[in-house]
Amino acid sequence: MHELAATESLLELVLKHAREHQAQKVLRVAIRKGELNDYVDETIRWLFDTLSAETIAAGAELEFEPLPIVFSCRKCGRKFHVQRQFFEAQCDGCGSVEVELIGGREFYLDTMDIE
Amino acid sequence: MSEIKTVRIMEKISGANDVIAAENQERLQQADVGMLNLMSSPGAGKTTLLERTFEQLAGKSIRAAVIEGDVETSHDAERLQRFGIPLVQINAPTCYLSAPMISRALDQLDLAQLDLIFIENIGNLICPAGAKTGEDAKVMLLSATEGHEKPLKYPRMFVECQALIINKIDLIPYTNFDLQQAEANARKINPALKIFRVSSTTGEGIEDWVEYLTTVL
Repeated sequence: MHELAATESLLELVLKHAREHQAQKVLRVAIRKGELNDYVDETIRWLFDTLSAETIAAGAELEFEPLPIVFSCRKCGRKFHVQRQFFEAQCDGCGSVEVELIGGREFYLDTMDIE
Repeated sequence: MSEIKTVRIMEKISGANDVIAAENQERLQQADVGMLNLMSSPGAGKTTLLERTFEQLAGKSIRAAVIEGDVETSHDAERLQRFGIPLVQINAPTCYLSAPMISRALDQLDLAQLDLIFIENIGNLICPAGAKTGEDAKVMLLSATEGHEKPLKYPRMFVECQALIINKIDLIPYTNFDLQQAEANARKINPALKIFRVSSTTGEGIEDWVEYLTTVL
């Protein structure tokens, strides 16, 4: 369950920023997650609920916004999306396989609602 | 009632792991030591591959060490002890080896006396894929008995690896494993993947793999 370390990092980050903004309470946490990540949203939610129980982030709502898998073609410069279940590292413009993965690995804390 | 405000953070989660991974990499570069992160399902043959590898390395002047990750027991480490190589055992109820774990393992090794470190990660195709440790390359082992569709099922693992070893090729006649299809599937995910066909039992393909090791040094 690799979500545990990720959720610990997430909570640490949330509390750090909450302190910096002198928040009394964290109400909502928005996370952006590249589609190549194998983290399960529901697992992160219940881990966060458990780990945050005694903190000002207790009860905060977690929102996950998926970010697409994006390649950039080194041959023709085209940027293109692929779906995880039809993953293919080949340019849909010129057919080249000289492509670079530029999106899909992201996992970051985007915004927080605090009071 | 106090006012609710939205604050923009835009900060990477698990950034701490990546910071320590970068420190590990820096440390290894300064000591001129290469590190490979070996990953696979449980039972794909990581330890047997390392046994064959060390037999070959004995004839070359490459001084290697192993960081051995296991949930329980030191069976794998004991199999490697006969080579007299430095070996650090990490026993942890974890699904992958993180950069901090590797950092503590590096503390136990005399880097000045080494050229190459193998991380034998926990057998798992999901969790180790996204975690940096400070390695020079991620290498994945896929055994013929696991099936040729694995790359399509676990894309992240194949995306992150620089090399793929297809192991247990001696067993292919007894399975429905399609070697060409396995390679095509892997290249569909990662066209730049270096692929080795290996049998750690018969020794087939080991030489090419060991040759590759000299290129990461």
